[in-house]
Amino acid sequence: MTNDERDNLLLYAAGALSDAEAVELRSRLAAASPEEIGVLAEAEAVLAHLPLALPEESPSVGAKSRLMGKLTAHGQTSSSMRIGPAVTSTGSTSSTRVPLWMALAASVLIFAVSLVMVMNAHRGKEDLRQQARAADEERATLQTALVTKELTLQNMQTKLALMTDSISAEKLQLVGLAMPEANAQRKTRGRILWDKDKNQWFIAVFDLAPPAAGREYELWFITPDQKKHPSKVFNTNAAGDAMMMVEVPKELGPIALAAITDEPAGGSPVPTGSIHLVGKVE
Amino acid sequence: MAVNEANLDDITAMAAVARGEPEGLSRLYDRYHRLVFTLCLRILKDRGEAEDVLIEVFQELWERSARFDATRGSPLSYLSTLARSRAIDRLRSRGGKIRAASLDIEHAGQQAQSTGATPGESADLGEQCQRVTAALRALDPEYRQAVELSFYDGLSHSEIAAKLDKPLGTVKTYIRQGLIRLRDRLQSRTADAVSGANSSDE
Repeated sequence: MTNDERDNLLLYAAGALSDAEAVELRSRLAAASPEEIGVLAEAEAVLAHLPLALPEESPSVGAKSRLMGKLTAHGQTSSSMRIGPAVTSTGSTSSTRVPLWMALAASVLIFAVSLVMVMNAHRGKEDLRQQARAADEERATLQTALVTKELTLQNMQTKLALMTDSISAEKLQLVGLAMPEANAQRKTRGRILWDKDKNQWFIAVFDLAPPAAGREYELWFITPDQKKHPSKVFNTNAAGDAMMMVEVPKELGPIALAAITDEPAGGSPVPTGSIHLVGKVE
Repeated sequence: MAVNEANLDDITAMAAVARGEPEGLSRLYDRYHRLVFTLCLRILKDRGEAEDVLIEVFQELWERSARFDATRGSPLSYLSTLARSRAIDRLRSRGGKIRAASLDIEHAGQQAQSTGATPGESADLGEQCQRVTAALRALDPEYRQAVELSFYDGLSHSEIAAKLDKPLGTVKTYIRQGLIRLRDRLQSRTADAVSGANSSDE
């Protein structure tokens, strides 16, 4: 375990992480390793001792009685479920004797009733444990979903920032990407915002269906000498959209065309698949 | 933290609580009620409310003893964490203004030796008190102040930043670094104590 991971567990125990950090760590701790459990326990132990540095105060003397009274008032002690025959004793001066058969019958009855009560209580406790486990599992699932949504939101925010950055560039060229004429009736389209100062392309494609299994889309820089230079490999989402930022290699010189084809997963050094989008750059 | 005789007593007391034996809870209460009450009082600034939370904490310990896992922490950790959480919940639910008192570390170091606790408890808790006090005192003043306001007074990071008139990021750094240094110092002192005890046994 790294020092950062140890420190994060300490800060988590102290409630000193941000909400997003705490959620992420909590979801990871749902499947914590023994080492992580140990480090977290150590951190909690450190924090548990901090109150010792405070000037000590004592509650009222009646506080303990109030506490113990609450326990017995709710019948929460084990003495209320004592199992076994009630012991009766007779002194030498007593004149009342219980027949043996009656005492035995009473003992058996008490035993049977107590046994049934214990079994019911145990069953009830087990039910509650199962409910608690189910609730814990559901909470862990929800936390994981929350972390996933937060990550998605962060991703969207990042893309928005990239787009804003491109739009605000001083030297900006807009390039449209369209399907080759043979498929002109479809809505698939793309845009390139070329920040000429930073030599970056912000690319957005729309309505480009996800590629077939085992394939991905690939972007190409095509120079005036018809050479196709491979760039980014990407996928579209279920809605057919994708956004990305790519650096335009300066050593290529002028770019004549941008094109997107589908290729085997991981990309290809040369175009082999169908052209889905193409646009004239300069 | 090394397992010592006191921790074993706590674990057996918790086992008794899990079996529904009030004597177990009574032992834990006798040992830790002042610590829990002190922390609650520090956060809530009201003796009546602090006592209510004290009772709630031990009652919850009783009711949920089955959830306690000795492999994941000691009863002291469980009580301290629960007490702080419940006190802060009550503080925020009553919507009261949070006032931070100054920490009298010197006074605390002396008082821990005169609690009237049993000799065994005094020896153990007093030693721990000295260790924690020294570790806090050794922190840089700004780190210590931020840790105290966060841990002892239950202030959020934003509230601490407003109180100290510092940027929020600075306050977070103070708290993080303060806690990390505190942990490192306490763990190194524990290791020294354990190695010292081991060498004296040989």
